[in-house]
Amino acid sequence: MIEVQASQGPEDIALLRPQPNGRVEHAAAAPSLTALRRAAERALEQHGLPGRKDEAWRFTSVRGALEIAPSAPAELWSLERAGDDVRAHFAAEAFVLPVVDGVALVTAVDNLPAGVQLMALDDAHRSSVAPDPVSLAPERHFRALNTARFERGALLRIEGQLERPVHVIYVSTGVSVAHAKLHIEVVAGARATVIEHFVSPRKRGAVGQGGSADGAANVDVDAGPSGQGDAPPPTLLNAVTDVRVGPNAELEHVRVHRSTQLLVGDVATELGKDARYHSRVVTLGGPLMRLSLHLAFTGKGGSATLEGAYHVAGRDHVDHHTRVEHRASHCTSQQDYRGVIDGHGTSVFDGIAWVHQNALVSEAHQQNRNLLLSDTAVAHTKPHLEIDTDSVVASHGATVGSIDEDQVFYLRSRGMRESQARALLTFAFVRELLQRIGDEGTRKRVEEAMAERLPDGMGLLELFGETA
Amino acid sequence: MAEATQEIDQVLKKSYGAGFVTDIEQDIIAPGLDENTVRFISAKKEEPEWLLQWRLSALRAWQRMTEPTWANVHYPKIDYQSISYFAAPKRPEDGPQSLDEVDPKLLETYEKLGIPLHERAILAGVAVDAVFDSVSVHTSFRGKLAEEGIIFMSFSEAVKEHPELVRKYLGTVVPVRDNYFAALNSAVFSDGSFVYIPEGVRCPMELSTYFRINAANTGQFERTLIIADKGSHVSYLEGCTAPQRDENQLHAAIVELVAHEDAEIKYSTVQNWYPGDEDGKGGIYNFVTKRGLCEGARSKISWTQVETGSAITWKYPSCVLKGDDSVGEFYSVALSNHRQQADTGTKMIHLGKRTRSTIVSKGISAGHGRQTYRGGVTIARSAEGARNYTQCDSLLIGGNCQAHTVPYVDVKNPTAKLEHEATTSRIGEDQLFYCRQRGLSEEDAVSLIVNGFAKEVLKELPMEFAVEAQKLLGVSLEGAIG
Repeated sequence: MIEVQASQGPEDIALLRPQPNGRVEHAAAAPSLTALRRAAERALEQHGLPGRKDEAWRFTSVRGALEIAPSAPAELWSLERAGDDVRAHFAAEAFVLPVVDGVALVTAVDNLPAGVQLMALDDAHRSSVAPDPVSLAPERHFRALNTARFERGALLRIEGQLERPVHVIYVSTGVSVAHAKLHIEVVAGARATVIEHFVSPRKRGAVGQGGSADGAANVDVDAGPSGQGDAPPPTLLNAVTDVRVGPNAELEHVRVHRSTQLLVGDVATELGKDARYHSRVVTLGGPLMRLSLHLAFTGKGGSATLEGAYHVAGRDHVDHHTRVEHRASHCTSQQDYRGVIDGHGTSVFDGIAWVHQNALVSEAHQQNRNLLLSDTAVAHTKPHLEIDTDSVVASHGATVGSIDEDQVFYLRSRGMRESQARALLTFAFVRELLQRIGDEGTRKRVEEAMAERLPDGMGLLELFGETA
Repeated sequence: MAEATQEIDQVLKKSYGAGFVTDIEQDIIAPGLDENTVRFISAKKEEPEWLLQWRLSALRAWQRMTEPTWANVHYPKIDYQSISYFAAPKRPEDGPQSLDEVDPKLLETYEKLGIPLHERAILAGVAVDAVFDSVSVHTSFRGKLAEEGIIFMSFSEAVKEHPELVRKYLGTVVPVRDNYFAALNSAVFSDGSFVYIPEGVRCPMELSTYFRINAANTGQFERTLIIADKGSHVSYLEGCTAPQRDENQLHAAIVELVAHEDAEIKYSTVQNWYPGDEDGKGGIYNFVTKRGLCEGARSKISWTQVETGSAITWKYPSCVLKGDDSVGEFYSVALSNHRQQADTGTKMIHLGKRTRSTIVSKGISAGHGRQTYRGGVTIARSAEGARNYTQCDSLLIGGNCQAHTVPYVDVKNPTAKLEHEATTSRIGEDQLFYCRQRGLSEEDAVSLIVNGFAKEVLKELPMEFAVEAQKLLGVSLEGAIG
């Protein structure tokens, strides 16, 4: 696929301006990290940021994001306070890494279970544990911007069999532009669950003008996008997560997107021999939510499932891009994305399964199903297969439709109210995917949040016997 | 197995049967494209001023456009200034009045192609508007068709005899600025077929054009326009084969279909142009824009294609479903062997209420073949209750071929129902084993399986074409497993 180069030049784009009083420049960064940043800066100069002419951004305009000028960062102590606030929402023994304004608060985590290593990326680069950059996705566009400008990233290295999940919570104190970077490394034979939560600030403090901490102290992990009330100025979170799953290791990687921020996410995953990876994405609206998920099998016998459930309403714009590369033989990938689109919402799904020529005995399946609930909802879907060998079984499917009236009739004939019947059918459409989330607390939380967003959805959980 | 492999190799290496050159004098202008070229073509064809201006506007649009690069095909850059844009058999002014007067060498060409004009006309009941390079040489059965009020003639004749119809419809489905190759065609199109079926008439026979590319270094820019007026019905057959040449030849045709209320157009293609040799040398570049407009309510347009030839195929026969309850269909078998590349598919644009479309695409790649299905289904906000079903399957033979599937689905109406399915796999070992065990040779087994794979599409073809298509698939693929 040939991409047209970005039409946006680097000049005049507010987003590309340097951050006033930014901390990045001051940090005495490790040389290897500095080199990466320089290369990213060059890529940025060369390719700029994506425009409508880029095939991968055809339906998703980032114009709103480009107009946001970076503001001065919040004071460190207000980040710490926001981090503490976030942790208060979880049980004391839970392992929670807060990422506030893109700054990973690695030092704030003290109850590390055995077999888990957590350090600032900078420190990692200075020591021997420097992560190999996951070189799947080219450093360009928002990824390059992230590498060039992120303040403090984190390396999470898992060596044992983790019983409990690792929660990574992304919050904002109201700073206009934040870049977060996280490396997850699951070494050979290890097993873990990592859950990334993207949540909204309940109130935006005027952090840009001197760091009032009020906004920071009011973070609510359970507040989803409301889409109502006075619209505060938009803020952007550009989050990059690189994942490496070693030979015979297993990772369940959950991402819950419930943010009123503009969110551009980029995940690149490399799987070693016989590695197993389960990506479960839950997206509950957002003014702009773009996730690019890029995965490659680099060793034989790997398996991956990529699942996504999304609900889009109001004027939400949700865009999931997946790209699965079979570079080695005997690997299996399954993609299943399902979503409900209501109001004036727009959903974009673009999935690629690419089987390289040497990837013998590959299996790649892909599915995207969309349920349109309103006259103004829009679905774009493009499940895309690129098969370069004959030793393969591949399939993909896509559907777009509305609720089956026969099914509504059936439920009504059993005495259910019409609105209830519709809510039930809508919920059931995505619930199957939500149920596969291993961590019970998270699963309940997202099921509730999903039900809440549906018209007449409140009574649903009772119907399913899962009272909150 | 070794023996089988040898046989297979022989079959695979089989050279192009229709490769020959007819040696007759031609009128060719010097290569190059500018305003003078367009004026020359227009003058040569004695076209009215409005058509010249139309061509010139297309040329100006083309000069401002850049060649698209998004398709999954690779070829050396085309030098548009090294192509000659007009070639016509000599003596066009005193053209043949009957078959006897036709240049015997021309007739010989048709014989080699297996199109006995007169025989076919009588036995098969098919009217043939044979295009030899750029100028129509012979049109049969025109009298019989004229009785029904049907107009079936070459495009240049239609410009002279029915300028009002041509002017009304030309460029309405594929506008001049539609795409790079459409603009190029609009500027320099040579000739083609024109069909008009009057209100309520069911065309009594299948209309057919056989055209072939002759003369090296001559791009052929065919233009076909078919109009089916209210309640009429027509089935149109297109088939192509070209002589063997080393120089790549560019072919950028346009086909426009317009179906009014309750009208039906069925357009079938068997394309067997020279695909180049095993190393990808030579072969035709086939960059075609085909589009049908279901203008009226309850109209129907059906595209069926069997694509086995050309070095590069780049075409997307599409339907704009504007009339309420109109129907669009697309059935395709595309095969790429050796170094052939095909980026093909369709676009269904649903505008009217309760419009329906069906897409069945079967791609077969073997050798180093590269096969891309690229399809778009768009449901506009106005398309209440629209329905689409898409199925695209790919069959892979050998480890060096590629099969890509790129479906675009854009839906803006919740009452739409849309399904897309695709599978990609190789010929099953168990299927082969089963057939072999029943005593079929390996190549017969593969042929059987491939024909079965493509059956859904082949059955949509008119009788004469179905046979030809099956033969083509067989020849191109027999025993490609090695």
